[in-house]
Amino acid sequence: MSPGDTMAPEIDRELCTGCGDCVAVCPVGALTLEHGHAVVVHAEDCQYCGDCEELCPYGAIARAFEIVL
Amino acid sequence: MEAEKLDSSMELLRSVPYFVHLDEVALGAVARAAIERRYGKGEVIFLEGDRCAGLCIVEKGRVKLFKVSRDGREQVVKMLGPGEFFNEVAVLDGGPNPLSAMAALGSVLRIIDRGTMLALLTRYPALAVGIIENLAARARHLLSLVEDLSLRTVSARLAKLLLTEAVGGDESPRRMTQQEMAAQLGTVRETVGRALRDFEEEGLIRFDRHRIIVLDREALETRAMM
Repeated sequence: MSPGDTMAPEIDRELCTGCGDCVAVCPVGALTLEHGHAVVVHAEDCQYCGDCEELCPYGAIARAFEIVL
Repeated sequence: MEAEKLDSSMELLRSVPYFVHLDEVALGAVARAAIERRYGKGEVIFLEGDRCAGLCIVEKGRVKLFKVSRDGREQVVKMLGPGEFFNEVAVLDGGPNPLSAMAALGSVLRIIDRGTMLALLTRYPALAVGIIENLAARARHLLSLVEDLSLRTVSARLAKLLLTEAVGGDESPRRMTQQEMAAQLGTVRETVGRALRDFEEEGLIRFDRHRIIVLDREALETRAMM
């Protein structure tokens, strides 16, 4: 597994309110709530599907992409 | 200014296109005029509409440039890292800051106020050449942006962005979030997400986890009206 394969969505702790919507929607249980904020605890399981990013009402989650030929 | 600090300040200033034509003497004068300011994470550097804060160069950390819409929504315009600069328009025309700036991480900036900048311009004509070249390049970029916004759909602009950003071989690609793509294209993240999914369904690109792979360059070029 290359380092990129464990890349996970980035969560902005300042924007995250800890509502838990992303934790609930994640199909592989890669996210959890810790100290009132969402964190990625199983980056290796993350499929990068973007459900968490789509759902987050506060725009706190973002997936970074590399554009390649 | 201590010699070591002056050297590091001059090294930083060399990364700013305005200063590329300056000799050591002139660059030293600019470095001595640049005031060091430190900001904690989340600290506001300046606000949009306030009196010009000067030309700001990021030495360390990360700076977020943003605008706040009437309904209070924050739109991130750009994130800047070491060696990048901002607020160059206000320092030249004397108008208010066009954007707000905040330290996204603990940051160190070098700031040259407008008065100092104008005095340096009078003294070092090579500085004026650097600024004129930079403004001309910006005018060219804005013309291209006007063309994009008036003639191209979001989908066409996104196709153009993908083609511009895509790298192959050993080149290391820049990472971009959909929010950053949206900010660059003058749209919102949701629209970028939909357009990317459309491209995928049409076989123009393929998502491979965190990679967007360009599959059909020609079709993207047609889509981009290039």
